[in-house]
Amino acid sequence: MTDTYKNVLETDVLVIGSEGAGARAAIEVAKNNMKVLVATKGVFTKCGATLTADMDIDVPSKAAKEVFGMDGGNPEDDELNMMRDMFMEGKYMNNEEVVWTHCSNAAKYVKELVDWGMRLDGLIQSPGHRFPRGLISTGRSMMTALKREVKRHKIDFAENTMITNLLTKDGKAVGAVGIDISTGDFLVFKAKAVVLATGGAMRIYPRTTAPEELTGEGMIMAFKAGAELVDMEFPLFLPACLVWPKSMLGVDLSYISSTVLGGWWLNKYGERFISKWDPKRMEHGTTRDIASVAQMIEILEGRGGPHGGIFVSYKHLPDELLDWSAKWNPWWANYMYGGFKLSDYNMDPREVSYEAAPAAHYWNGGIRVNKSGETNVPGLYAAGEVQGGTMGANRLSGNAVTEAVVFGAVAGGSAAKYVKDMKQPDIDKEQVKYYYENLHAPLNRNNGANVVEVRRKIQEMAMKYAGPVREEEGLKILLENIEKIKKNDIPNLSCSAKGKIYNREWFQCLEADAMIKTLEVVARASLMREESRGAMYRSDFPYTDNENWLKNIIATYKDDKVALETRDIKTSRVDLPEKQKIPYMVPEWEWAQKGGLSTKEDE
Amino acid sequence: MKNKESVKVRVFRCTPENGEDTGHYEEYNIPYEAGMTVLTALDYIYEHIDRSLSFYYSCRIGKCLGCFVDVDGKPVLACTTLLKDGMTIGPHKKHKLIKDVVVDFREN
Ligand SMILES: Cc1cc2nc3c(=O)[nH]c(=O)nc-3n(C[C@H](O)[C@H](O)[C@H](O)COP(=O)(O)OP(=O)(O)OC[C@H]3O[C@@H](n4cnc5c(N)ncnc54)[C@H](O)[C@@H]3O)c2cc1C
Ligand code: FES
Repeated sequence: MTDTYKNVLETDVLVIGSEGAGARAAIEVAKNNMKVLVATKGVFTKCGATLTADMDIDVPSKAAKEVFGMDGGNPEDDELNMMRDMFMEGKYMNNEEVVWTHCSNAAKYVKELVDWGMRLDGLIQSPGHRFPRGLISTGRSMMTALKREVKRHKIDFAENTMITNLLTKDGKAVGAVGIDISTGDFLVFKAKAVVLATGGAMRIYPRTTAPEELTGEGMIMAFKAGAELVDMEFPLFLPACLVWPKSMLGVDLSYISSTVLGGWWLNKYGERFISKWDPKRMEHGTTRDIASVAQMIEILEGRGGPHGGIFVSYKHLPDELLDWSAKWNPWWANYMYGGFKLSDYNMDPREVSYEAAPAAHYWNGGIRVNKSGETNVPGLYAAGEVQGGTMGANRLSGNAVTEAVVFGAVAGGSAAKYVKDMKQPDIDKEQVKYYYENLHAPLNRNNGANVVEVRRKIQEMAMKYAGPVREEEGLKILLENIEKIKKNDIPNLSCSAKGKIYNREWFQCLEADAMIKTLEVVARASLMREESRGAMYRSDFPYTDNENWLKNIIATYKDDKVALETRDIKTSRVDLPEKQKIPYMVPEWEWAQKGGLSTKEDE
Repeated sequence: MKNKESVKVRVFRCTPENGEDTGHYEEYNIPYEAGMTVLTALDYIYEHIDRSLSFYYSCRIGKCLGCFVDVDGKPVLACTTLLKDGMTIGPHKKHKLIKDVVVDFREN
């Protein structure tokens, strides 16, 4: 224990997570002349989902034209319209004040990125949007712009640093603890405020588009510190992601190219099954929630392929067209995807169809925040994918990067204001001692549970019982298994490797604890919601129940247990749908165009 | 190469905290599957042979540029480089070694 306080770092605002939301938050704190320190599990601009984003960044279409000079921008679309689409496709689970902040600040903060050097390559209209709102750029270009600004403000970093717990004092956030992965040192952070920007928890699933380190600690540390989690039953799946070869598991090539180019999704009988769900929009235009459910049902009902996916085929397109697309379609330019040369992997779309299935892609739910990025814990802020409320039950393409920059800036600004004139708060030494012991336990324990196996168990049951399609019996089995793992495996995890320097096994043990807790909240909320909505389909309740379920499920952590409550959705600018049950598969967009939805301002 | 044949790779191992400063190479046998990459091989070693192996990756699709290693002396991304029999995998030389094939990419 002598090394508990060997590494104490003090700052005004501690930002946890370094990418889109985290970097942007840190810049805002620095701009307000407060001291900021960014702690990140990876290396800055070499981790997180932001870098992997390769497509659209949403702004109101009008702004696309007027602010960004895009010819395709439509002046008829404004912030309110954008909010309306987010509600329609978020199936009304969204938090109105948060969505309004998002839409009304999108152009401002995205413009700033362009001024800092982010490249723009065009404008697209992605599925579910009624107007072209997606400015085309890349996560890499955005992070290069943010990095320049970060350097200019000389922002301090603690990289390769995994934060495991928040410190609280009198109910307020006052810092955090974690390990420096590259040395194994225990770190204590003292801060006047904390901004969480740790992204989603997609890695609780085995098949995901998201990077390796997104395992949910941010949400769980906030949860344990008293923050509310919202909409946790709605992890978003991206349909048609590769299941094969293993090295490309979860890669979104087959989805992006099917929406861009019109690939067909076929079951083992060669049927285009999406026609049963979304006959007008089909593969090219359907939203990701419905598509994932449709694909999962084909797979679960035995109409999939040998590797457990459906088929994505481009063979109805002549080779000439595919060759032409390899010239203009950036997602398989020269038949490369990212760094993969498709022919090396036997993935040339002229030769083969792909086997693909839904993969966890984005965390719709998360830490509940208000329009200023504040959580219900004083001094604790959340920004970006880790926050809940922006997207509701389903996210429209292109809104996540916008969310990260808008709320990064907003939460960073709020935190800077909060810490101004504040004295450095004390930390609770008992808490530090407790976390120190917990954190080192897997290193000190011998012959316990193997984290590789425990992790695999968690991921496999997450996909099996809490994938896009769920039902009561499966969720109950899942919860029983979760209890077993919590009781037998997690407290018994031990590292076979005892070294402290870059011990992968050690930090995976710490991740496993967050993974199982995240999955538990997903499972409990999914069981409570007896209907199907957005990214969650209950096969035992295959309809959207607007009579009884225009409600958010809020989770809190009490006495080591997950407590759930429901809260009615309240709006002032967007009208809620009629209180009735409607079939899940009807695209609400069409239903809405028939007069189902209007905004109060329009009337 | 056919599925399930095994391939041999040599991987650089160095544990600075044990006072080891020059490091050494260890050889591993890995069951081969079509489409395997250098990264899936490292993952295989970690999961099935030796959990003390250290390596860094994030996106595993060639975008984060965090998984650079030297293969047969040349820097490549582990996640998008096809695995071949007899490969020698070492740390990226331009940066300071942390452990095994993890180097210090921090600039801040
Ligand atoms: C393949 C892919 C493509 C996408 N394409 C698009 C797109 O085209 N348009 C769009 O709008 N959105 C897209 N998204 C979603 C979007 O990229 C993300 O939602 C967004 O970038 C999230 O930003 P963030 O800063 O909140 O989180 P991230 O960028 O994920 O960053 C999370 C940070 O938290 C750190 N962290 C995590 N845990 C800890 C811990 N315990 N301690 C310390 N640090 C921690 C990580 O190291 C990282 O630095 C895509 C996502 C993926 C996976
Ligand atoms: S893991 Fe990101 S480039 Fe290889």
